Amino acid sequence: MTPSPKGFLSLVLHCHLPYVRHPEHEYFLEENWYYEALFETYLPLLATFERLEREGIPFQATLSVSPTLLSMCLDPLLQRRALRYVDQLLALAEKEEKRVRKEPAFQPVVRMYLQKLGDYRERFKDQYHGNIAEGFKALREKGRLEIITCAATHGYLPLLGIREGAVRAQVEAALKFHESFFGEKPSGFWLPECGYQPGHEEILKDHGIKYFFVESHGLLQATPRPRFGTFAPIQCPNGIAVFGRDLESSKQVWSSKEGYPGDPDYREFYRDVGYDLGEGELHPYLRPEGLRRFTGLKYYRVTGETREKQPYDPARAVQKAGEHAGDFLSRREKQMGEVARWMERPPLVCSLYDAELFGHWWYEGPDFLYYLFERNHREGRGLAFVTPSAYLGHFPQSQACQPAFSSWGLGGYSEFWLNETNDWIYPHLNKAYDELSALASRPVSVDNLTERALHQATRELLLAQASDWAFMMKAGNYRDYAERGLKVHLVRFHQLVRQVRNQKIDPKFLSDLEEKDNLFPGIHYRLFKTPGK
Amino acid sequence: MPPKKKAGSAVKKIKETPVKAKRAKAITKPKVAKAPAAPKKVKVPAAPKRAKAGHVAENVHEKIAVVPEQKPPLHRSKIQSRPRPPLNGSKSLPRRGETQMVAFIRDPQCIFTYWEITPEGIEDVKRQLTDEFHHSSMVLMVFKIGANGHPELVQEIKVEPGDMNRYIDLNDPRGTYYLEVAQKTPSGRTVVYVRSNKITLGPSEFGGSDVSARQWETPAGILEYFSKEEFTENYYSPGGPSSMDSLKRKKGHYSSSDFR
Repeated sequence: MTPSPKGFLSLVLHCHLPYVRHPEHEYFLEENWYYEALFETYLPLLATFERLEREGIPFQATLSVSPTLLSMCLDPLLQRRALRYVDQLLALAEKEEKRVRKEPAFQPVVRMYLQKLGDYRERFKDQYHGNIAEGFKALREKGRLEIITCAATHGYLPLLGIREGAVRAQVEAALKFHESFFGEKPSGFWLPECGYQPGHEEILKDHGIKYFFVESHGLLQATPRPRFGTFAPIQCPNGIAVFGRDLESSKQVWSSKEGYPGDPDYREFYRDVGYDLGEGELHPYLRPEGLRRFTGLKYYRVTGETREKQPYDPARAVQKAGEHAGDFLSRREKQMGEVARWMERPPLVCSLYDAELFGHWWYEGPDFLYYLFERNHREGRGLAFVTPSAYLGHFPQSQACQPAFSSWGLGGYSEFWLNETNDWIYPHLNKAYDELSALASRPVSVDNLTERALHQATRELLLAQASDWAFMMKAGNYRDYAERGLKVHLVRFHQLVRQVRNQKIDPKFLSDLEEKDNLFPGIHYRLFKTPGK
Repeated sequence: MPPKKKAGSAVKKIKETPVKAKRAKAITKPKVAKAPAAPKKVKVPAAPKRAKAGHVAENVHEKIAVVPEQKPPLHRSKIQSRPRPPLNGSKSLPRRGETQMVAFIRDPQCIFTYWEITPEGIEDVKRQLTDEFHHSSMVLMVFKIGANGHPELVQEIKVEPGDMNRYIDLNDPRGTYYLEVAQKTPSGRTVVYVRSNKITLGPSEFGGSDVSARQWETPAGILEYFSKEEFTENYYSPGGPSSMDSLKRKKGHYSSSDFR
């Protein structure tokens, strides 16, 4: 860390995907979300961090790795299928290389894909042996990354919180699973969707958590009013630190007007060869169902507000990412300079982003991150990148305030997860919770088969509690998948509970579910025991 | 990739969604409060997680509920309460089969509640009201726990026996609330089917805290910084965030086309 920095910058990337593992199908469209994120975000991020490490550039960042994502990273089936995915994509890119020989404008971008995909494939297969979480773990051990977790299946806690035990179960399952892989419990906790309900800090404290994040207004509207706004963390009355999201730096990346990703030189997301090419040219990539879809091979740049897009120039885009990183740093310096004179400690800017923004949506995002650290170091800007734990190590004292109910979703509260499209799910989630809680609270020991059935029912309920279902129902694009997914988990849950209650467990049915929904191998149904019993 | 990243541009504000469902009659709190003051002597039991169906309302509720229905409804620009189809999207899932009522805070100005009353619960109330039952109606009552610790009826909404949920906009959202579904006779007698959990909205959700301990007073420069237009728009306007526009650009509510 710089001896006396002008200010601190805490970069936090939230890595989450819903549990989209579908072993019952050889190919499953939604499973591609995982592979796309793998080769467009997680591997590029790892490559960026490792490059910084290799070049001796100091950097620190925080990654929130959701337990569902971690489960998928560890899964051998998905590891095999990920390799198949990238092999098919590479085959398509090789075919494309031949096709564009007469179109020189597209040759650089096709070569870029071939080079990058080849590199990521090699890392995935030979360096991480299919498990990219090992890469994150290694960087954590080198002190470069702080890895934290979030709720087990990304349950939206303010709404699940109607049953406190449901929140406890989501937190406890997440921490145990995180610890089983990373070797220790995390200091921080990412509240899914930054959804904070006053009182949940008690649950986090009970589990040894030291800090969490809230959306800007969750902190700015705290009681009493925070002295330094979001430029310093606060402490809940129970002592847990709370970091507020900085609006200005978020806006620079997310905003439709000022946001970097909309720059004309950057890659255009929506022009993909999966839709641009003829079916014959895509054959056999679109097998087996033959449906057109995004492939990840995109040849155009944003260009501007026009439908006539220009070919993408990789070198130019990388250069722009470097310029934007410089601009970002300059603006942080200005921002911090503005408020530093009012503070008796250097200001902290806490920038929270979805990791998948970097690479998947904003293709040049990983380059931007590289230059962020590189330019700050090379140009001696005096901003110190810091993890929340490191910051709290320097400044253990914070103002005691009670943060306010908030989320980072539309409207700032729970509207996106509770509205006319998805409100019907909550009676069912609460009912399922009550059922399992009643079973888990029985002071009786059960035989091995019953125990397995209850463990599996626990997995099914946790999966049903994922915030992703409600989100997709509201967003609309994948409503059918979300409704089906939620119902499938709840129906599986109720079938298992009925079998347990009737003492007629079908071992074949149980084994089938254990194979299908195999996350959290060490889960225990007593997680759902009624609090206090 | 998950759809959450692609959803943004399609997102509409919920409050703009046309709601064809009937508007409920609501009675404003001040008019209620002026009639019978909340009796101090009545001890208000904590709202049980699962209230027993059909228990007779306590005096406090009976007295408050005497307010005549012809009182003018509250005129507000926003939707006050919205019933929802009871089983939308959940046909393949089992019903609970027990009397229960749950209330959620959706945002600082809106409560969502769902409830279920078993046929046995209805029969029980029928027995208690005897002939009066046939002239009575089902109501959803919103209570606020006053500063003195006593509940005050702040909204009363007629509901149909088949209704199972509502969104309720609040006039004065600060404080602790609970809800009841009850059967109310023309004479004002009320028998409660079920009571919800209590929900509390803190003062800080509404435009920032007024509390500022002296030793931690916010320096003028910091206040000025956070009083810039974007913060004023979003976070310091009374009633919480009012401009959805910039929030829309945040997580999950954008598409790359937004960046142009």
